[in-house]
Amino acid sequence: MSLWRADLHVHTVLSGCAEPEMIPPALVARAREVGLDLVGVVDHNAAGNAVAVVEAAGSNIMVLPGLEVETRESVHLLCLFDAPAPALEIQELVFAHLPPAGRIARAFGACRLAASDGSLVGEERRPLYMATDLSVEEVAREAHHRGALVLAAHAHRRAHGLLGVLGFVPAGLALDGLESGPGGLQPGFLCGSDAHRLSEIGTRYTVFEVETPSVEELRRAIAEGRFRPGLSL
Amino acid sequence: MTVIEAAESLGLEVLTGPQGLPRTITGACASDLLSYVMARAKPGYLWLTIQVHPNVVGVAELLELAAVVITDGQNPEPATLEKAREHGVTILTTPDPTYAVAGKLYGLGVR
Repeated sequence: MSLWRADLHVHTVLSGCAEPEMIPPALVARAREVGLDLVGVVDHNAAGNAVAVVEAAGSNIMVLPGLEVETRESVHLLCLFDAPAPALEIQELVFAHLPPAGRIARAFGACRLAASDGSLVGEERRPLYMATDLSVEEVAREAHHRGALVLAAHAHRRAHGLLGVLGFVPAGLALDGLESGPGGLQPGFLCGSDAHRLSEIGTRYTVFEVETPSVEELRRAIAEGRFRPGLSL
Repeated sequence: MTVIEAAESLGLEVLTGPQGLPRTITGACASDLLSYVMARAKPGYLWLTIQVHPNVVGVAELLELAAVVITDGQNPEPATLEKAREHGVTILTTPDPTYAVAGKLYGLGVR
């Protein structure tokens, strides 16, 4: 077993609310600089930049591609995968359950698709800032079906946190873990930065004790308590 | 005012928990954040929300609310209705948005 310092909650320019600096090579460089071994790339309702980050990372750092899905209850769930293909599959499902594009709300920022060298190659015009009409249970089930690690993002937050919105963890909801936040560390909760700018990457992290950071091993490590959340503010 | 009186005045449809209809309404709250409702609502309150998740029933039971009004034509999930029947929680629905229902209730004297 070895220790893996992970920030499983990092956004890119595909999240309209993220800074333009959140392009794949810069993100990877910053993650290395702050000593991360593992990064989860999750944009709001989209996985379109995850491949580029995986490519930009090369063998320097491990990247789990994924997305941060907004459920019909307005809860954010992180769905992380071993490879980009199932993440893109879930993205298709999510896209099918978003409201129609309509007017682009500029207030939420442009959602940019980037290449591994950091160049901007397109814009996602779907309303990624909206909620899907999938329930928390449906998202967890569909993501698990495709091999995901499913985590409740910033669970304590009233805005989009599972505990804030739904009061308590629903009975029977198949979650692999909960990310704390906002605020200090919480026993039993994972920690992720929810970075929307480079300086936030790795400021909240979790150290996992696993052989290799596969979804399956991370799931087992969480279940067996082989992790330690940390703050580096 | 009782739940049945409110239901008749506002044209609310009773989906579950008819045994709760004679209960007296002691107050009301309108929120879609369950954590907020758990912190603020009191026994006998009527709760207006667009949330349809089964946890709504858990909160209503925990706080001994008089009833839940699911507004804006939102359809409760089957699991929500099942849980409400099982726990005897009264769920009412209306096509009207929360704002309108709250205004009418306030006008009827629910403060």
